[in-house]
Amino acid sequence: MTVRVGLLSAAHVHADAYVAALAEREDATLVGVADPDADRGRETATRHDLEYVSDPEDLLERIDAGVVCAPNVAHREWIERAAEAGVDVLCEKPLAATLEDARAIVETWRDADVAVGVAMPLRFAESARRARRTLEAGDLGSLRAISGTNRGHIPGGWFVDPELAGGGAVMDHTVHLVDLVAALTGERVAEVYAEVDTRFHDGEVDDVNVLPMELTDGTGFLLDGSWSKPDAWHTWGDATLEFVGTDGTLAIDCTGESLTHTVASGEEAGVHTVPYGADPTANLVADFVAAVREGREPLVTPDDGLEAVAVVEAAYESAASAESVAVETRRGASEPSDG
Amino acid sequence: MKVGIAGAGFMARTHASAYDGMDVEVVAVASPSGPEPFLEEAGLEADAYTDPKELCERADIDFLDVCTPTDTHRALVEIAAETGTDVFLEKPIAPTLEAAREIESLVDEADLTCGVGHVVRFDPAYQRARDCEIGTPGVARARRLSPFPDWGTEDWFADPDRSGGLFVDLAIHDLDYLRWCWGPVDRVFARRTRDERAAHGTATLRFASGAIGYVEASWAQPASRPFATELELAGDDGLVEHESADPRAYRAWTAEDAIRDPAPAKTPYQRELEQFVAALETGGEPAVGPAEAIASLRLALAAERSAERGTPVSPAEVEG
Repeated sequence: MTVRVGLLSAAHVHADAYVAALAEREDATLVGVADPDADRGRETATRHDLEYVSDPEDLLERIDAGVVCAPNVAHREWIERAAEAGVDVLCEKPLAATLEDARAIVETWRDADVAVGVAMPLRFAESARRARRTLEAGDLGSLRAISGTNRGHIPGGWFVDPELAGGGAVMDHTVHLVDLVAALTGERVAEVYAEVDTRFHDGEVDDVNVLPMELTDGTGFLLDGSWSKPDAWHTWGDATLEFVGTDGTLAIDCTGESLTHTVASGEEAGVHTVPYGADPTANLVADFVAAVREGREPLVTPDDGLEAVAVVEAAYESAASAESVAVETRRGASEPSDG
Repeated sequence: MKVGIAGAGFMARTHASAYDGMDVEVVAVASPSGPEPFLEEAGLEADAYTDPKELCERADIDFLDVCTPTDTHRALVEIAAETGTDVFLEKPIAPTLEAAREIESLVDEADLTCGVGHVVRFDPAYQRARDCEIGTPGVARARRLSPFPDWGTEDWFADPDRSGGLFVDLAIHDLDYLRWCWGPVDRVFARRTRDERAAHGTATLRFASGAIGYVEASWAQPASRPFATELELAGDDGLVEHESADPRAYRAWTAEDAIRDPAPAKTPYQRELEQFVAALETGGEPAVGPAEAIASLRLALAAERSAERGTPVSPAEVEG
């Protein structure tokens, strides 16, 4: 079967990467683009030689699966419409801008007979996959501490509009490594303390965050998810994790396989980073398309997405109160650890 | 200039080799068990003492360099005060605020010049990083990763009452440096894990300016991992990054060995001791005196307290 895929909003900067990854696949075909912002939808459709479908319901009737690249606050509505139409969904992260929306999405997913995946490409990074094997083999002994970074440029557009993004850097950058650490360790984030501020730009949303968290087994997990990389920095940002165990230390750099490319002239003049390793987005899309074909869930489900959103919400609560906050999920507040 | 060193361990060796490149003569070394093996190993022609007081009573000693376990600093400063000997202390100034304040009073009352060895301020990379233009400070990252320090006599690093523990002994390097760069800190939130042979901790800082920073300190690294530090200072108009791992300035490989070294003309230890000696010669101020060292100790103690309580702690509320 060839999976018919539609792009459900082209708001997210990753839309082009999904389109490119889908175009490479023989088991999927791109049908069209729907977007309430007709200009944006048409522009994206034209760029990729796709049809712009002005009525989303029309597109939903013609596809098996949709990739939701809408602003965070619109994820819930898109997933509900897709579920109503029996369309499987790959949703950009974070799953939702609020815990309330995330819970509603999980309910929709459970009630409807559709597969829903959350776009967590780091799960598919080769370095992370190898780290998982190392951790599962017990090579590090028991974990003492985890330290991670997911820094980046300050994005523009709706990412810095609190009405559409639901927050700033905490909303944008916390979920990747929180999700990855949960997947690699089998533990959830139980408690969050957060120092958060707006220091790098004049906008309304936060751009600095340092989150000293604690996992359910008491392991400390410090995450820097700041938008602290200047535009002139050589690449978009980073994603690194370091695990310190009783028997060893493991460090991964998810974008570590890259070249330095200096362009001498023209608009792109400057130092650039060119990845040469396996493309996590291609693997993520492959897993999603396979899930649709096989009638199974994708690797990262709304349950996982909800966990990460709960951490984001707890981080904002901690930043407002300057106190540690227990992470609440649909399973209720976690037990505070004395670790 | 003539110096007497108290201590005959790792740091005494480090300082002695720094003096070797300076116009400073090590004329005496005191250590409770007798410093003779140290003198021989270091190739020093200095007089050996077991009693530091006898050493300080020598008329030809210009200053005492204290390279002993942190909990012995106060008693040695007392001797320096009694004998009117200027004194340089390895960092941290003391394991407790109480002892640090006593040191400050002793030094004040005896009108001594006292320097504290916050050596990171003399690391050329860290100095240049501080000078780099980054605009308004946003977020600072400083990491310091090491195997457990097993070189202390009687394993004194492992005893928090003697060394002060991970934050007071190790993280204080970066806490002091960041405070020097970005000013006072309003609150600290720290987490730490430790057992007998390892400790690892993080301290997240909120500066009075509103900037945010974090220090990660490890005494839990495997022996195969070379000691490593990282620094990033990010502001609204720039970013400066430094990593000590993988130095490229000087590399050599032989059949048995690999050498990868930075190639500074002078070590940070020599630079810090030169500054102190210059202060003695000109009547100037040491780069870090007791007051500055105490401010950094407060920050480390606030981290210690936060890790114990699980709540943020203000350095201002750390008393005793």
